[in-house]
Amino acid sequence: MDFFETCHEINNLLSVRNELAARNLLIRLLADLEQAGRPYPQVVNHMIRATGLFPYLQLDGASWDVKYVHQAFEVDVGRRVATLHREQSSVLAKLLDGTSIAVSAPTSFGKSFIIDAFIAAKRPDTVVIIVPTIALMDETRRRIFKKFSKEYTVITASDTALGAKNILIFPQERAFGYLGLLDSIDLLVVDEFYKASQKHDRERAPSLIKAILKLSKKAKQRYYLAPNIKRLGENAFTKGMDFIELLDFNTVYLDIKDHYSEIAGDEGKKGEKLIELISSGNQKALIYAGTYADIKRVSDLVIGRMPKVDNPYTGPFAQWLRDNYKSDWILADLADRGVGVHNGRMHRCISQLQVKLFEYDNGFNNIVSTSSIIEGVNTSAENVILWRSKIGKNNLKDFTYKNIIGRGGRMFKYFVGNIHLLDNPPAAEDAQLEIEFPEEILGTLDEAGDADQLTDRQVERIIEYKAQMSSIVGDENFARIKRENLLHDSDADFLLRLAMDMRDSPDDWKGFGYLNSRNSSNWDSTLYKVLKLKPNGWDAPWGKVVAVTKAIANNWTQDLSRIIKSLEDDGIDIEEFFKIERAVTFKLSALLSDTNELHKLIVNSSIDVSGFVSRMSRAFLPSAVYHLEEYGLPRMISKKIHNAGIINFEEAGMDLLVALERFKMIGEAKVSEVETLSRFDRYVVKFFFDGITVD
Amino acid sequence: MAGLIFDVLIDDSLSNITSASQLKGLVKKRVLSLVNDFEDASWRYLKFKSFLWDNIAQTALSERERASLVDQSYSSLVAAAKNLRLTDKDGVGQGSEIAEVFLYGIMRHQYKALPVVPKIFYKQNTQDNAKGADSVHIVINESDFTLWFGEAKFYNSIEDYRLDSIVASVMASLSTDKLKKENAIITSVSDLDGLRIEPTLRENIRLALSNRESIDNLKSKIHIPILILHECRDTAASKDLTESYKKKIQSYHKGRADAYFAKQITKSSSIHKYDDITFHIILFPVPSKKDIVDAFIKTVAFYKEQG
Repeated sequence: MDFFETCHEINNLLSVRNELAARNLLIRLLADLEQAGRPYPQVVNHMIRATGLFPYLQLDGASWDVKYVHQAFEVDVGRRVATLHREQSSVLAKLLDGTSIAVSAPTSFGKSFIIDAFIAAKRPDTVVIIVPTIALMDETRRRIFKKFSKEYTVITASDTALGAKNILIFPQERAFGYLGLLDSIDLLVVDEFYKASQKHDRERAPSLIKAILKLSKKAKQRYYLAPNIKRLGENAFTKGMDFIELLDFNTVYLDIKDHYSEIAGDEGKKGEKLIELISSGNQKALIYAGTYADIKRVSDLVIGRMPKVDNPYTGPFAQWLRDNYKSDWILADLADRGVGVHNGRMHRCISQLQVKLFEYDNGFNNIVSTSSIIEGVNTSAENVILWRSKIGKNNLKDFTYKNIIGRGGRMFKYFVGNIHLLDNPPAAEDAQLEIEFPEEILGTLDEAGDADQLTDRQVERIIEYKAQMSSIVGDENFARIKRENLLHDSDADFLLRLAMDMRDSPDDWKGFGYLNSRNSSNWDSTLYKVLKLKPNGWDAPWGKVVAVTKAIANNWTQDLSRIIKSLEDDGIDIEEFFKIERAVTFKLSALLSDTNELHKLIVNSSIDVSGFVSRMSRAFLPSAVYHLEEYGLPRMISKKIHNAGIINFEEAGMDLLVALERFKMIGEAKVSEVETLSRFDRYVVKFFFDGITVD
Repeated sequence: MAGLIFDVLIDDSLSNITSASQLKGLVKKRVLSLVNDFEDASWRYLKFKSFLWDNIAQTALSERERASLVDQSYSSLVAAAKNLRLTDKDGVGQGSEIAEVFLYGIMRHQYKALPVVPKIFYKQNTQDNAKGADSVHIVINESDFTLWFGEAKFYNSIEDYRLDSIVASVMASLSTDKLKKENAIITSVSDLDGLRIEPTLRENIRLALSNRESIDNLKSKIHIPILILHECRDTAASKDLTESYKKKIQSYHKGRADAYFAKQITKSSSIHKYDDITFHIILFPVPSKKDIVDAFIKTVAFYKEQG
């Protein structure tokens, strides 16, 4: 396009105040100029300025006022300075002014960047960042660690000791462990705060709301972030906060291409189109598949139609997967073809490695994903392909759709994100976020401390619950449960039912202590009994859950590939293994822990299975080994390091922090010398060290 | 708004001060002569620099930009200005950015120009890489307004032979094709909305800038301030703002103004309605151009090291 004519048009759009259209046109112009390798003429710089996209200003040959703008909007974002765009700066200014803010802005806006700039400017003592997933926790941790670990203790796991100044990053469930330890929080950040709405996350919204309620009471200031919310309904959780909607402030342009009309539901044509799109050249694509069945469909297509690629990373990664997990794993076949898979199930270190490989020029060209990538990772791609407009069993909502296509393009990397729609997108709707109060959490709240955010009727229910529960466990114990956050479950009604069951039929609870037996065949009846307390939500038959629990009891002593193989007889494949191991370590261990606490109070105070629960919650691995997986170090590599005598993970007191300190002291070079490590193992070690060291 | 901090030696119509008879009748030609003062027997470099930094801080950002800044304090704005490399252009043009900023300050303090600074970018032919006018300012005059198209130069000499190039540059900026609407983009007009002025006046300014009107109708509203920062031996040799120094400068500036306008008139025949346009020659002597340019390069280096 002729840039002068285009600038004319941009200017006209600006004068009629259509900033969105002006910005979109400008971004496309910038993409053209970049492709042509042309420096920005003065007038283009001026248009950038007028649309607020200051980081895009090109300073070579720029006029002095343009250079001044670039300079004036520069801030410290932790160990370096960067120029913010106009709205980013505006949000940061308000935040630094002490205002609590809930901001809704597009994926490409740079909302997290503002957190870093805030920390760099104010150096607060305590920052708590609640993230929706472990994957995002790791990504945030890596970023924050690089910037602030000299001054701050960066905490991601429960039971880590606080330092003088702390940045705590974790999903809501882990926040409860710190409630008693934090007197005051300078900044409470809630990433993807729309998840407090049960419409968006039925299962975890109650615990998020509970965490927000409890943490906000200690927070001097709050910063909540989300994409795609047009309006925010009145609610108790964002009370006193400024809601800032900046959805029109895009920093990249999304070029949406309709292929679904031509495909018209023909799966054959759709497959052809997909292969055509991902076979052409080196552009990276994120393929949103929507369901596990569709991931399988896409995988089969890729394996059937695409040749293996030859590059230094994907082949060794494929071999590594076969050696350590499963010799005939479909993921390895995909990796051979430069395609990765991201879902919420598999071991985090595998997901992390794949995202990392996706960022390399000679790594993966494509990643097939469920919704995990949109809630879990900040990765982006030049192309986003929508294969299926589903999210699990449900149809994709406009909100999530926008979130997916928002992964296309990235500031400074791709001005334009190409969105290829192979399935009908959902109808557009203006998203109003309603955060409703989940009644079931009432009993876990405090009638005095939380009352300001509750209605009279809700306070009555809390008092009623307190009376019922106290009559079973005693006043003092009830107070202690609250004070020490002994119970994980946010569903107070469920806890009350469980307590009543124990009071009324204590005989049914005989044998609870068998969980302390070293012989896992003694665990069955208790495990079934506990599973039955919450019959649904295990994503698998109980028998499989029990089988996996018993199998992973050998996680530290047996090779993972053997464990996975042994479960094949129970009809459990590798995908299901990952899923159930997660359910066991998170859900089942939390449920068992609550059961154990109540059991001690109601049935038999001399039986305590907390040791078992704790082992279960870390997949029966040594504590540090389990937590290190979140840092990108898989268990089999930890085992090799342990066996080589470099670090004794069985040593008493060897928690995550101690292990990390030990690693830093020993250094990457020494660890890499372990003879049993394969070449790809060493690459993983390098990636791990990268995440725990400052540049 | 603070008044101008420099001493005004001449602020008059050329017709009142000229000794050249052929220039006596020229009403729409004005002369402004300014000087900096001295301290501890030296020309006040610091005051000159502060004037520039202050004016960058005050004028370079639009209201909306200013409102979005993280730190809107005066000192942080000045600090950002001090970090600026104002001396990118080399050769004869070096320092022209310093002159541009200086003119902003003069426009603001001396002529009470509005804080809204429209930008005009021209393109003369298809191969042309669209240039910007040095600066555009709006001055309100009760219920009317004038548009000021600035020219700013920083020369180490303003002997006759150097004046030719200034005249050429001013005349070029007035050529019709530069002002024609199809070849121009005028921006930052929406900033006018933030101003507290009469709505009809605002509309008139907007209309004038929108270029729907023939440029000829606008010529009576056009002012051309021509700022010339120049090296001056007398300034370099002085240690105090004495009457004799002032007189010397005054008379030198008169002579230069005469020479300048005499040259300009001979070149003016190509400009339609030339007589409707008001010209201001603004002269400001400095002891050494090189020292000033070097000092600005050093300032940036100093701040970069601190940063």
